[in-house]
Amino acid sequence: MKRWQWIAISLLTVASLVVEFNIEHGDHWWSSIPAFYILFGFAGCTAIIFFSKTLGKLFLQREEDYYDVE
Amino acid sequence: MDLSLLLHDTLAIGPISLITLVGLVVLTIEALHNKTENINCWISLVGLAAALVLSLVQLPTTGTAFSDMIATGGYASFFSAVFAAAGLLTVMLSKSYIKKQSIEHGEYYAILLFAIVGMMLMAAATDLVTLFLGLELMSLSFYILAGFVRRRNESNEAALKYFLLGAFATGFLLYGIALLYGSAGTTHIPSIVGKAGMLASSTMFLIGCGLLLIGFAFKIAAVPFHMWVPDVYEGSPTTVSGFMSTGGKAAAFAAVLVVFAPALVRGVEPVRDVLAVIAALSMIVGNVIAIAQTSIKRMLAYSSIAHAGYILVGVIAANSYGAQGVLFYLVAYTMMNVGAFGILSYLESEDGKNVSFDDYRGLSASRPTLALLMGIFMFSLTGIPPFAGFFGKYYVFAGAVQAGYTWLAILGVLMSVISAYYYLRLVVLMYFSEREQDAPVIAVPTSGLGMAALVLSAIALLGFGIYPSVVLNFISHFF
Amino acid sequence: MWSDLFTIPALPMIVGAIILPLLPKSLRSTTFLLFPLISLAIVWTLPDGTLVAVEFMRYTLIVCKVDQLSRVFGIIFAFIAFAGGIYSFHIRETGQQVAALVYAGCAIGITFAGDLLTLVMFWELMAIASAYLVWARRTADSERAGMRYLLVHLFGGSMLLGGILLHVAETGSLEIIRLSESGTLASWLILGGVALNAAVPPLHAWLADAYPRATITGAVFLSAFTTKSAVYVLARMFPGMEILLIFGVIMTLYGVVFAVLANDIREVLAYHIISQVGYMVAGIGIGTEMALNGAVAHAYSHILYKALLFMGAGVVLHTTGTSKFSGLGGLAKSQPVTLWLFMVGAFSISGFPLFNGFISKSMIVSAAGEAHVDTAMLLLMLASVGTFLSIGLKIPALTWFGADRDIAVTKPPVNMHVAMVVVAVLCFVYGVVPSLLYNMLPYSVTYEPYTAYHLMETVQILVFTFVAFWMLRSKFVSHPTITLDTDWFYRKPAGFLRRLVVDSLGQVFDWVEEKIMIGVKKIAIRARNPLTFARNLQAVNPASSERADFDPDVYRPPAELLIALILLGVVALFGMIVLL
Repeated sequence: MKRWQWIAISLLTVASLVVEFNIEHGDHWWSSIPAFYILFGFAGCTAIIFFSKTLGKLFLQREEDYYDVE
Repeated sequence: MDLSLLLHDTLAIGPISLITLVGLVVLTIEALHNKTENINCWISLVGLAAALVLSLVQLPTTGTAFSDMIATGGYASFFSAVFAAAGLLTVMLSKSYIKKQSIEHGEYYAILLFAIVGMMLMAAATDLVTLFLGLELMSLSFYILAGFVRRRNESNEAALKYFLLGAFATGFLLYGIALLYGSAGTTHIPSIVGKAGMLASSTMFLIGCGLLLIGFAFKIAAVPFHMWVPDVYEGSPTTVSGFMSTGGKAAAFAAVLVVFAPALVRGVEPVRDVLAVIAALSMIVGNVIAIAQTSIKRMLAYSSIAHAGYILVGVIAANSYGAQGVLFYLVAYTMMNVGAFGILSYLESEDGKNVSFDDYRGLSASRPTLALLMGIFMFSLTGIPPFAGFFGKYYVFAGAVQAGYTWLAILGVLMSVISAYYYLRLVVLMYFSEREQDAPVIAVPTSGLGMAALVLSAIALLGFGIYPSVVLNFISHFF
Repeated sequence: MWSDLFTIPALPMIVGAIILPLLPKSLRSTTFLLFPLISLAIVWTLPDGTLVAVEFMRYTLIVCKVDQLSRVFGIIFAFIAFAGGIYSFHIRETGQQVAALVYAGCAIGITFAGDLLTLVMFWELMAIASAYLVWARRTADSERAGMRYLLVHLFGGSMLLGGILLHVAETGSLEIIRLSESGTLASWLILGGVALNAAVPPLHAWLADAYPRATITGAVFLSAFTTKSAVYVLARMFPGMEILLIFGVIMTLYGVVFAVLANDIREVLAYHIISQVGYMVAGIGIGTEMALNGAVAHAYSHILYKALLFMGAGVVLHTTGTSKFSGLGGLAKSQPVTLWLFMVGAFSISGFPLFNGFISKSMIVSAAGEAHVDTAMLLLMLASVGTFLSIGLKIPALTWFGADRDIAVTKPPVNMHVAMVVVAVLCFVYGVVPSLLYNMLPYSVTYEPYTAYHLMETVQILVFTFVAFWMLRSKFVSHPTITLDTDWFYRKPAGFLRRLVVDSLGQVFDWVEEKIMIGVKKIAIRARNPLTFARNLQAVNPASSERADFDPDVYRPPAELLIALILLGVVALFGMIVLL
């Protein structure tokens, strides 16, 4: 990740926050939480990664020749 | 005996008389001359074609002959046409096959023709005695044909097994006829069916029905009277197997539908229940054991047990859908099974080998036309639209649902899915597998007649699938 | 009446499938493109309310019925068949071309079917045609996968057929009607059969099993037709069923989770088909006009970008020989075109502004919000996070970026890229001018995707999904593993079940036959010479006991014994007559 890419992302984030605080909100319970979608994206992604990996390690992942007794 | 009446009746049962005559002619020619193979084949073909045309001509008019013992027109003519067509296809396929197997004798054609006579009699019977006559004629002819390849053990085994078990089953049938006569006071089938409601409480009648059922179940290859089928079909000459599995079954079902007519089945509950159990078992056993087969011939044998189950569902439904479904299914089944066995006979080696799944690997590369035709037959047997097999099953199962036998229909539909495994496995092997390097190359003599028969069957399957009304218009009058 | 048949949209495709093998090999690929275009023209020009009826068996079949809903599906189906044809222009195998035409034709046939019998006929034929595209890969793996695929689909077809048979018996009509409130066994069976094709868990395992094993070009067709034609039928027959909303939401997350674990590009894409179809199923479940519009719009968009994604994965497979992450990496330098065309698809599916995912997915999410199913709305948004993660981030990271394994890369045929460009352009065009798509939808649209709020929301979610991914990128190392799914239930026991059911049934009958033969032999010995019962046959050598009792020279019953037996018989007879 190059430096300019990080700068671009930060600018985008700031722009989105500016927009967020200047427009009408939706009428859901989460609409009043500031930067909700930032948290949602970050936490959601993390949760999915950890949940899936755990599920895989515990139950689901097997060697490639698992079914090959046929 | 009033001669004019005799003549009139003989003409009335035209196809039957004609084929009998042709059979006798063939037999005579064979006895009196040498090198008669070609002549006999062509005489048979012409005779069968004439019988086919005659049957179709006689279809619209119904009547009876020989003091009400044989029916003419309508139902009888329909089945005469089916048997003549099946016979035609079989003879076309047999011409080069019997030469290949070194059993090229005129008697082959003669006995085949007599078998057809027996079948026609069975379908035309309005009296239990006539029915028995036809059944025996057909069966005896088949016993001989099964063992026609005398030098081969499997053929002898097939003939003997078929004969012994068949005679045994015939005994049941005859005893059943006797009991039915005893309880109903007549051997005239429509009268018996008419009285069925009243007779349902009579033990003698029920036992008679049961014995009759056993005899028929043997002929149609239903579980648990199916044990003879795999060995007999495998040992017999392949074209004969094809004919037995289609014409023989059709004739037996024609008789079943006359005796166990919708009125009787509806009126006699125990018969219906027993039929349902037999149908369910046949569908299950036939399909399940077919999965394990490595020989295509045996696979087709077990699958014919399954198909007997499907067709029985139509008999159990005992309504117009079910009965018409039975007839349509039989037509479709005749085409596809004669075709499938026909291709087997085409590619078979002189000593009866080359009929296992592995021998058909990569066939689409070496014999694309045959592979395509086999594919069509396999698809139709599985019940994939737009081939006729799908509509046969649809009709039969729709009839069952309408009659309240939903569980049978659902079972049938599920078993058809299983059948896809072994039918389409052949298609996969033909199209997506490579031929083994050291597999022997079988020299297959080209036979114009044989190919014509195969192509005709395939076209008929597709045609009847897209235009089932061609057949349905005929049979909708019967029920 | 006969001329009416030529207006059936499915017909050019089926006829084309029959004609194609008869043409010279060099013309086939070009002619292939003709038929979807003809179908597309027909679909475009047929007015609403067109009805083509055919007398068949005892029914009046309606083989073509046109309205807004079927038209929009018909358009995209025909188009994607065309695009797929460009993509597979280099394929020389006629079988695949024929199968693809039949497959697409059946999907279009299903879309315009006006009655249940026509529907189920196309349904069953579609299963065969699509199975061909799996088998055509010609590996031992794909052969078995193809058979599993076919059997599962025929099973679904049999559920559908069973339901239809029951339905016809109950109502006497073949008409395709709304069954959402029906609740009869017939409607549940029909729903089951359709749900299987739509890959609703637990009936979904066939998708991730078969699609990665299909041919490179076949997968593009597979991704479009089976699931979306099922979505069409759901929209037509089962709108507003709450159970669909529940299962739809589950589907979106199910696909996402499994995609994280998958080791094959096409397996990730396959699980995301399940995920995206989940949006459509959920939208159908909500049942409001906006939700249904959203489901249809999303199906339309999904066909486009999913085809694009599979095309990209296909190029990778074609040029490197593998689609498994454990064998890929660092291809960005050698395949920039493929990478960026793939990313167009990835941006679309992730819902980036300016691409078609943004304008369709959010319609469903907003519909969920308007219908006040807030939990569903949140979960659908969560699935979007996962989508971007797997397709926008994981796949490129492991395939084109990441460790350079110095893989040999061949050049792909130019038509593959051409097809990708065509589809990518459309993804962009619809994204920028959404009204082009909105005008085709069955209900009137008041939705406006480009609002400040929506843009803000999307930017925040996407950016911070990326941030989280970047921080956890070490977790995304590829392992050569497989992931178990619900097909474990029929794959693991397969061998055991076969022995239990198939072999043992045959063995039962063999055992019975054996026992009977033994019994028969014993009876036969006795029957040859019944007097062995009378005389105590303590022969002799058990080995020669057979000969012992049937040696006519040795054992002949004496005349006295025979006369005695006859006299016994006479006495018994007279005794019976006298007594009775």
